[in-house]
Amino acid sequence: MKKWLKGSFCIIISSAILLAGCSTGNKTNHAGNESGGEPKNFNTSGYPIVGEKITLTMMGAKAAIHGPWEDMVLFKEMEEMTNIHFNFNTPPAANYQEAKNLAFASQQLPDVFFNAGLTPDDEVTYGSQGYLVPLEGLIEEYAPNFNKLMKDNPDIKKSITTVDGHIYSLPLIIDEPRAFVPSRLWLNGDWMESLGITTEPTTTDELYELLKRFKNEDPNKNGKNDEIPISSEKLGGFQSVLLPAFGLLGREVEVKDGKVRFNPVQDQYKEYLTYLNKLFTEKLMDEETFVQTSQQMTAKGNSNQIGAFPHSSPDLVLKVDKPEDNLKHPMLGTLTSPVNSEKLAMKSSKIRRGTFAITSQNKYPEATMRWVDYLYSSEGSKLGIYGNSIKWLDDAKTKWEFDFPEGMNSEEYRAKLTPDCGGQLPLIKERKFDAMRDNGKGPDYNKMVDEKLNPYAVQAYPDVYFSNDEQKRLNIIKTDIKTYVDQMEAKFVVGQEPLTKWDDYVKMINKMGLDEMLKIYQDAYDRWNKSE
Amino acid sequence: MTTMKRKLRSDRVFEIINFIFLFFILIIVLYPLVYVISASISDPVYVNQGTMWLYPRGITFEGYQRVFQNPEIWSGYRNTILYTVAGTAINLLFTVPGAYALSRKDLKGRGIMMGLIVFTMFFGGGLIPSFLLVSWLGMLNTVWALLIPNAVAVYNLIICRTFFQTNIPKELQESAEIDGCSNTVLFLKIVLPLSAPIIAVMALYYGVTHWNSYFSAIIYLKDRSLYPLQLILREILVQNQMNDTMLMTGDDMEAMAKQARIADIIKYAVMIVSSLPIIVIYPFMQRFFMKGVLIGSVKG
Repeated sequence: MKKWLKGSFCIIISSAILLAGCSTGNKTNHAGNESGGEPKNFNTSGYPIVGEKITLTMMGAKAAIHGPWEDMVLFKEMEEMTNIHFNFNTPPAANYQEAKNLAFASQQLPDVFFNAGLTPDDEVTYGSQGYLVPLEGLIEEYAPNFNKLMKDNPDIKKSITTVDGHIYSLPLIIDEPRAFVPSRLWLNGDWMESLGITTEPTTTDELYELLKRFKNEDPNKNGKNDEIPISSEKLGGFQSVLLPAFGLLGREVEVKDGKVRFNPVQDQYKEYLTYLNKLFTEKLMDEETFVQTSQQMTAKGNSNQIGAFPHSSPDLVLKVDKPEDNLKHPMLGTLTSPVNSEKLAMKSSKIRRGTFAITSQNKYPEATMRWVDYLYSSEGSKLGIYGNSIKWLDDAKTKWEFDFPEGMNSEEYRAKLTPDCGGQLPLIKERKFDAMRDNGKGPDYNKMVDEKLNPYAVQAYPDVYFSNDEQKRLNIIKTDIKTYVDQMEAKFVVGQEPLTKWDDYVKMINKMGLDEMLKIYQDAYDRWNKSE
Repeated sequence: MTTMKRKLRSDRVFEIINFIFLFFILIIVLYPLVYVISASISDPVYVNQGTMWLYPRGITFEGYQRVFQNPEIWSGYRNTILYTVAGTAINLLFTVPGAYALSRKDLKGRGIMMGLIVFTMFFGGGLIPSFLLVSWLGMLNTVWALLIPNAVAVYNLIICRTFFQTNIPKELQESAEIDGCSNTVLFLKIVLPLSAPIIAVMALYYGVTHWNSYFSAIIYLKDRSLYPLQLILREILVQNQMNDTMLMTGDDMEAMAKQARIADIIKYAVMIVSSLPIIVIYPFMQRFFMKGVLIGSVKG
C-alpha cells in the first residue's frame, strides 16, 4: 500500500514539474496595437472599408430563436458593402457565459465579440489584462456616428468608460420612449367596464378600493368568486410599479441628492410592505404570487381571472383577440400615497453595455471599428434591427411596416434576418423611425408611456463600473444582503414576520456590512459623476 | 397443523402489506411519467391551470409537430446515436481489457497503476486545462472531442475489475495455461464469454452517460451539424425566455406571446422525445443488470 502511494506521488510530482516546464511557450501578445500610420488595405472613408476581402472571427450568443448567423441578411449585406467577411462561433445563449469565460481563460479569442454579453466585471478584468482593445482612440478616428451620439449625450460616455479610463465595449442605445419604463401596471378593462368604473386610481388607497371591488363584485360575471384582483410573478413586478408610489425608485440603491441610499431600510419601504401585507391578508393579492411561473399567470389571465398585473403588455397575460384590443386595458399612471405626494416612475437605463468588443487578436481594429459604426447610423440601424425588411407605405416615407411572410410569426422571421431579436447589438434604436411604424403596437405604447410615466421617470442609479476589489467585496456583501432582503420581504408580505420586527431587520442588514456596500456604491457614483 | 396455518396466515398478511407497499412505490414512480406523457399532448392552458393532472385534456399534437419540424432534430438524433454507439464501443474497448489486466494478481506494477488511476478519480485538472489539452490535441470541433476524453470512467473500471476478481476463478487461468493457452486467447475465448453480464452493464452505464451528455458538446463543438440531440432540444426549450430588452422594445408583443405559448407546448414533447429511446432499451437490459451487479455477492 505504502509502496504504491510513494511511487505514484513521485510520478505525479515529476510529471507536474515537466508539464509546467513545457507550457510556458504559449503567450498571446498583449497588444492594444495602436500602430502608427494607416494600415494598408484600408479606406478611412467611403465603402468598401477594405480593398481586398478580409476574414475575421466573431463570437456571440445565439438565441434559440435565431437562425444560423452566416445566413443572416445583416452580415451578408454588411459584407457586400464593406468587404469584411466573418466566420462565426455562436454558442447557444443558455451556455454562452461558460463558453465566453472559457475563451478568455484558454486565450482562444475571436477577433470580435458581437451580441457579446460582456458583464461590466468582464470589461474591467479582461480590459486591464489586455485581452480587450481600448476603443476610445478608434472611436475618435473611425466611428463618426457613434462619436456623434456620445457628444450629444454625455451620459453614454460616462457609462461605458471603465475604472481605468478606457472604453472596452460599445453599447446598445435605446431611444424609444416605451423602453424607459418597461414594467407597467395594467388594469383589466373588461372588468372595469362591467363594474361601470371609468376613473383610474391615482393613489394607493384608490387602487386598494378598486381591487376590493374586483374581488367582491364578480366583474367576470361567471357567478363564482374566482377573481384574483392583483397578480404577479414574484414580487419583482410590484417593486417597479408600486414602490415609486411610496417615493422609492426600486428595491436596490438609489441616488438621492448626490447621496447613495439603500431603499430596503427606508421607512417608506416599511409602508410599502404594510400595504402589500394588507393586500395579501385580505386575499386581494394572488396567493400564488411567490410560486407561480409566468406561464401559470398567463393561464389565469387567459381564463379571465386577473384584474391587475405588472407586465410590459396586456396580451402577455390576458386573452386579447386583436392587437388593437390591447387598448381596452388601461395602463395605470403614477400613484401617490400617504407617505409620498411626488409622482415618480422608475426609469430604465438608455443603454445596454457590453454588446461589442474588439480583442487583442484582431489585426484590423480600424476596419472593424468602421464596420460596427455603420450600425449606429440611421441606415445601419434599420439593417441591424429589421434586416432591411421594411415596406414604406407612402412616397413621403412617413409610415412603414415590418415586412414578413404571410402566416409566419413576425419575431421568428426577424430572428432569421438579424441577431437583434433576442439579443443586444451595438446599434441605436431610434425614436423617430420607431414612431413611424404602422404595424405592431410600439407607437401606442410610446404614446401611453410618454403621457403617463416618462415625465416623472427618474433613474435610480447610473451604469457604473466597479474595480476588481470593489466587485469582490460587493459579491460577498451584496449577495448576503440581497438574499436576506428577498426572504424578509416575502415573510413580511405574507405576515410570517410581523412588521413590529422591522427594527431588528434593519439592524441585521447593518450588521451584514451595509455601510461598506454603500461606500462602494457612493465611490463608484462619484467617479461616474466626475468623469468626462 | 395449527402452527402451520398461522404461519401461512402471517405469510399472507406479509404478502398483502408487501403488495400494497410496492404498489404505492409503483404509483410514485409511474405518475410523473404518465403526467409528462399526458401533458405532452394536452393544451398548455390546462396544464398551467393545473386542471390536467392525469389524462390529457384538449388533445393536440402541435408539440410533437413543432419538435419534428425542426430539421436539426434529425441531425441531432443521428449524432447522438453515433456518439452513443461509437463512444460506448470505445469505452468498452478500453475498460474491459484494462479491468481484466488489473484484476490479475500476476500483473507487475499493478498496485502503482491502480493507485494512479484511482488518483484521477479524486483530482482532475479542471475545465480549462482539459479544454486546452483537447484543443492542443487538435480535437476541437471534431467528433473525437466527445469520444476520446473520458474513454474510461474509473468508477466503471473498478466495478469491472471487481467482477473479474470475484467471478473468474484463478484455477481457470491455470488450467488454460497448462493447455498452452496464451493470455490473449484466454481473455478472448474464455473470460469474455463468461462476462456477458458485466459487459451489458458497462454498455448501459456508458450508453446512458453518452446519451445524456451535453456539456462536452457545448464546450468542444462549434459546428451545429455536430450538435447532439440534447443541445438542440435545450435550445427549443428555452425559446420562450424573453430577455428584458425584448420586452422593453418589443414591437411585436403578440408574436412573442405566441412564441412563449409554443415553447410551453413543446416542453413536455421534448422530454418524451429525448428520453423515450433509453426508456425503451432499459427493460431489455434489465435482466443483465440484476445479474451483473449482484452476482458477486450471492453464490447461486
